[in-house]
Amino acid sequence: MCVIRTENLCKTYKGGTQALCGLDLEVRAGEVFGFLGPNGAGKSTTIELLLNFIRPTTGTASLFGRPAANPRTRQRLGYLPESVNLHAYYSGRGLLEFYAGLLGIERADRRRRAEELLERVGLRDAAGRKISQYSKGMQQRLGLAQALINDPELLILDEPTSNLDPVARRDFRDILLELKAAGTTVFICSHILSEVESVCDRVAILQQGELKRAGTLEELSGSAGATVTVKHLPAGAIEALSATEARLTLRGGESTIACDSQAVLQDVERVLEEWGVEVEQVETRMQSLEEIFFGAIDRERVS
Amino acid sequence: MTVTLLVAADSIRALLHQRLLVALMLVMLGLTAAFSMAVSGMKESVLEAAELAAEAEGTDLDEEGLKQARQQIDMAGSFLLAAFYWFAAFGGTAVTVFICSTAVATDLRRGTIRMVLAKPVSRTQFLLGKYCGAIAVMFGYSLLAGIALVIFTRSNALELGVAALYSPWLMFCSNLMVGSAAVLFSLLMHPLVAAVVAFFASASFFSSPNPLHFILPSYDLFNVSSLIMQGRLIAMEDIFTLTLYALDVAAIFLLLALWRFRSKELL
Repeated sequence: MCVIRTENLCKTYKGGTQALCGLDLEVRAGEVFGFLGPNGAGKSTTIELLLNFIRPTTGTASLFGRPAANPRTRQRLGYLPESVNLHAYYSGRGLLEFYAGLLGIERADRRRRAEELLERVGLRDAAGRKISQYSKGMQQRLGLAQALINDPELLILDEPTSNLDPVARRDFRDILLELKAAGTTVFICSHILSEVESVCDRVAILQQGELKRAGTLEELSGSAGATVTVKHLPAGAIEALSATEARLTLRGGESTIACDSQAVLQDVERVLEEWGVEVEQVETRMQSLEEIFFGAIDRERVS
Repeated sequence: MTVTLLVAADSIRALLHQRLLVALMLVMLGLTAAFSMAVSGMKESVLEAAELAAEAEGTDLDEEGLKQARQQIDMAGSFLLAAFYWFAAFGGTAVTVFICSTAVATDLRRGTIRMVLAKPVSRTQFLLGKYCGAIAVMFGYSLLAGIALVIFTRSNALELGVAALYSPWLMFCSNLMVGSAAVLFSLLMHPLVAAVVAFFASASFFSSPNPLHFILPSYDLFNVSSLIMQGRLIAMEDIFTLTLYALDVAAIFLLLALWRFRSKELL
């Protein structure tokens, strides 16, 4: 089942700035989906369209099979924006109870649910304090708590760890992994590629409003090169290999040849074949998300 | 309905945290005290003047003299009562315009609107909740003005008059209209400009003809201070008609505001 679906979604702002251009996206139930792209790629615009903050120029967006404009779709989702703007005159507990009320949670359950979440995000001791006295990091954690108040089926996170210190960032990742294990669908926009790589099932890479690539990390990652191990490398082969871009390391009778790309690997394999060298082992290395990301985007357009 | 009430309750909470609003309400109480003192002083000086006049004629202040002095006090009392209500209504309109023109705009500026609208809250529920919250505060203000009026008249042994029974209600009805206009204008222009336009659109405080009344409804019927000054009384049927009129105007402004708000992009 598709939790999020966009079809030919376009957004052009007043003044002619095209933020999104023909986005087709599907996020399935239970997956953690990373939505990546440089600044101005259209990630936040997509979220704003999904939450009906802005209207699409053309195309459609749906959540749980219903149009995104329908407020009832938001009954089952949680949202954490990049800059968390909370009602400063509430206490942490009071704010969570207020949001719980908006979500139709029974009065008797609101306090219990608020206390549980404050404990979970490490704000139990500050529960009664006014939000105006919270630090940015505390507000971000409270923001996460409010996003989880209805135990959502879909969690939309826009740069969720931008204001968090390393400890809170790790705690956040643990919560995300718990949610993933519980089957919650998570749609996460982040600049921190390592963060996305460690939790996401699928990713989409966006640039200047256009979808560049989408799929699982396995589907997207090509070979990033390989290390070839051989024994008894003849001098002629060593000379021939030094003419390639491969890096040769001789260690006793064993030699390792590091190839940074598929093309270099092909050159090395050709040389070894010509000299009749028997290959002991070929260890291929897959691309990291960072390599996939930079491979997908046009860096000239970014700059 | 529950969601609208929750938004309204939140709106009241937000408003009560605004110092300017609380300050305006304190000014209202201060005015009551100031007028009470003014009337006390005026009573004493009128009686003193009557006694001096009688003394000059070499007689004591008789029943007739006391009656005349009493009439003078009542006339001056009516004037002060009208002036008191003019201030109260002026303050009320200022408060209404302030809270209604910033009701949605403040949430838009602070970004808190996104947190609320990311929940299953429709824009209609949000706007109505904000308006209801503002109007509840205005109701409190009108109630305060009514209580102040009773204290003011009782403490000065003035005649409360029939006008005092309906004047707080008419003030509230007038603010229903002004508030809904301020909400609409704040969605069309900068809140500060909206507040100024809405305030001058109400304009029953200024005797000069108001060109805005060619396109916007007149609030003159709700001008309690002029009713008190003219000694005019309004029948209960008229109060009912005026209430319906205020609700009608407020509903039209709110529908227009809703139409604008539903298509507004939260950038």
